[in-house]
Amino acid sequence: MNLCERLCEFAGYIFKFYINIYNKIVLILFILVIILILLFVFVYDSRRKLKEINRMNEECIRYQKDYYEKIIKSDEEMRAFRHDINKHYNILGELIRLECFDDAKRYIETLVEIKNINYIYHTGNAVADYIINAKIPEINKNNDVNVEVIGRFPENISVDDTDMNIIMGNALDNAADALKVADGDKELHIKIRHHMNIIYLTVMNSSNEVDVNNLKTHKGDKINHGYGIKNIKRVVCKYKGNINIKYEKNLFCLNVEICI
Amino acid sequence: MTIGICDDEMIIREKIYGICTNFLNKYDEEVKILIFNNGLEIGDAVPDILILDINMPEMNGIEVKQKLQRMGTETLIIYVTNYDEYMPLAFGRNVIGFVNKGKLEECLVRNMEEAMRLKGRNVVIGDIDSVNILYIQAAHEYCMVALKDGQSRLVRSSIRKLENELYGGSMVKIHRSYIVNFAYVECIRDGKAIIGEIQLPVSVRNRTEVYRKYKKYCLDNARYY
Repeated sequence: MNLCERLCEFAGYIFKFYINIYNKIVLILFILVIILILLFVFVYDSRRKLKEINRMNEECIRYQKDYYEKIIKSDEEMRAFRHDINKHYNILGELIRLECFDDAKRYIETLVEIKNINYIYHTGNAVADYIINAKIPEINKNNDVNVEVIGRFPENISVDDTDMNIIMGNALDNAADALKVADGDKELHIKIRHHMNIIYLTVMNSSNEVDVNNLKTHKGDKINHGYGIKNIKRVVCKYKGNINIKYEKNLFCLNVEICI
Repeated sequence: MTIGICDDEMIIREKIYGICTNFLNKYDEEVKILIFNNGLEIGDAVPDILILDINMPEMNGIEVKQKLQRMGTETLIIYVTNYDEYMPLAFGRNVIGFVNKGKLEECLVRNMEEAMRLKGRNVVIGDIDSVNILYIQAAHEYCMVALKDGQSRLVRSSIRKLENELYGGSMVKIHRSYIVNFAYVECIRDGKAIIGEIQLPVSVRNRTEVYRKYKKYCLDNARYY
């Protein structure tokens, strides 16, 4: 009986021993599997992140490539333009020097498509008149824009024609773009006022809501557009003026102030 | 204050009259409204504000404006018109706006507010209307008032008292000894307010503020010349 009990006790120890070892092995294996899974997840995630970074880098490189290509192209366009314009100036200068005015006129006509403009609006400035009378029929070709042009520039103002062209041209181009896509009633008001030696030009047009602090071009050709307001600002600075933009009640309002 | 309404169409006259009386309810000032059926009827009347039709028989709105200009009046003109093509001829020193007859309700009130704002500023000091003053210079217990016709007058008052009386209009204190009428200031340059040959000092301490006020005055008073 004693021997039997001892054998049983011995067998119990052996059993417990093996059970313990088995448990430990299972535990160790379990921990190993968990570590492996974590490692796998970590490696997989790192790989995914690296792939993403790589993709972004590639995209960035592609954008940069496009950007440089565009710069090179616009630089070439600019050089070609400069080259051509110098050539045209030389020819025109020569024709005028020789007093061949008819030839010079014909030459200009071949260079630009001179539009037959019906002068309805008179602002007292030839360049502004040309731009306003050329652009308003385009803007109002569907006869759906309520147009108002009020005021006159003082005589003999000291604003260069090219500067007036930049101010008026860009202001009306912007208005035309906004009016094209504006919802509801369409209005365009051009107001020219002055006091002492300061001219106030206001161009107000219907427009869908815009963030005046973050103006963006809506034009397809983004290489050559988006500089309108910047160019006006540059010119206005030259005349110690100011520019003010606001958006109120569906109207985009550009106020330009220049000292003459 | 007097407001003139001059239009040859009775319906329009009545409509304008209705808008004006409604609009004037919010002002305390006593306002007399004069009605003219055409330009000739205006005669020698000089209303403070004239709501004027352009296209009228015998004497049109442009001729009325020219006559008022020749007379040297300060009548502010608001044109009401259907004919945009007359507009280039209708600009003038005292023309403050154009109202399309189709949009009378919306636009006339806006122009009337502007006219009332411009008219409501004149202050009389003794018997001098502030509109005729170029500038005021402090001289001990007196002030020397320089007028636009070249004359000057002495007023027994301190510059501080005059400043308070003139507050809110075109008269602005630019220096401890000077109040200037911005209406005649050509520009402010190098710390000087320039009125023709006259150069008045702007105090260094208030230079930015004076310059800001002058810019605002110019903007508020710019006209369609």
